[in-house]
Amino acid sequence: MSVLLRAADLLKRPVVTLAGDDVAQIKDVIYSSGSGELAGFTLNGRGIFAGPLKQTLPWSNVHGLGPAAVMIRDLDSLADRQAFDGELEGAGGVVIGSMVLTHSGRNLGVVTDVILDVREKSTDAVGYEIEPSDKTAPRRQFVPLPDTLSVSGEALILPDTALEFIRDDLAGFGAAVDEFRSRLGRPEAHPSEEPTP
Amino acid sequence: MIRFSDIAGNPVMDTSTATTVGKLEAPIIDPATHRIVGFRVKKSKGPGDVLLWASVAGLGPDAVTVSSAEQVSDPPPELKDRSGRKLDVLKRPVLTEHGHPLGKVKDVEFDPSDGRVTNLLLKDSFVDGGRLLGIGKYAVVVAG
Repeated sequence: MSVLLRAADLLKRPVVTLAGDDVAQIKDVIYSSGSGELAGFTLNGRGIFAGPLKQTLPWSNVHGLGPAAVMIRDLDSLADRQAFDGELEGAGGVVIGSMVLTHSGRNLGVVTDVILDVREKSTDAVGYEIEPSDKTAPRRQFVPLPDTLSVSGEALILPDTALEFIRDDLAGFGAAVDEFRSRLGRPEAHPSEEPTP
Repeated sequence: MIRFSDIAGNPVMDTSTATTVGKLEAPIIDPATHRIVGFRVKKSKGPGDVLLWASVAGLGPDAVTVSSAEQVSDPPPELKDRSGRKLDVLKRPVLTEHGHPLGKVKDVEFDPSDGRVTNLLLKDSFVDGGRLLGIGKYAVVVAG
C-alpha cells in the first residue's frame, strides 16, 4: 500500500512513541538546504496551551509515518534544535517558493509543497506541488522529483523529460513518478524498501 | 481462551467469608510480556482496587475467587501507572508501529491458565497479542 501526501498535511499530526504515548505534534517541516529533501520536523507540545518544544525530530529518527501518527522509538529519538543548524524551516525554506526551470530553460511555476510517498515500511520525497506559471493550466500541478537535482534559493532545475510526467491530480502521480525515475535510468524507484513477505 | 467481556463485572468472591469483595472492572496488561498481570476491581472492600494475577485463586465463568479481601489491595509501585484508568487498553485506538490506525480495542482474549493475551479484538479485525509493543496514554502500538 502506498499513499501520496503533501508534507503540509503532516502539520499537527501527533508524534507517538512505540510505548503509545503522544509526546509532541508536528509544528513545521524542515527541508535540507542542499538537496531539497525532507530533513525533519520542528515540534509543538500536545494540548491546547502547549507551546513550541526545544527539541526537533530528525527524519532519520522517524520510525514510521502513517495516516494517523508519526511514530518514534522513544523520547531519545528527539534531538536538539542545533541538529538543524544551516537548514531552513517551512515556508522560509529553500524549496518552497523556488522557481522550477527545465534544462531547456522553461519556467514551469513555483513550488508550493513537497509530495511524500508513504509506504508500509518507508517514506520518500517523490515530487513537488507547483503553482504553474501558465495561467491556462490547472491551478495545481505535480512534478516528479528525480533522485538528484540542483537547487539554490533561486531556482530548481529539472530534466526536460519531467515535462511528460506532470500531473494535475495526486491519483495518477504515483505511477508517473515510477515511470519518470525508471526513464532516468534508476533501476528501481524505491531501493530502500524491504520486500514484503 | 476467554474474552474479558465474558467476565467483566463478575463478582470477586472471598472464599473465607463467602462474600463479594468487588467486581472486575478492567484487565491490566503488561505490554512487554503480553500478559494480563492483574485486574482493576470496582466497589472493592479490600485495602485497594487492584487484584494481581498471582493472587487470583480461581477464575471461573461466573466469579473470580480470592482467599481474602486483603488480596484486593494497592498495586506495587512498578504497576501504579499501568493499573490506572489512563492506561486502560479497552476503547484505546490501535496504531501500527508505522502509524497506520487499525481501530479501537473492543475486547481482549486471553489464556485463563497463565494470563497470556492471545488476541486484541477490534471492531472487525483482531491483532495477535504477540504483536503488542506498548500501551500508552494516546494509543496501543502493535508491531507490523
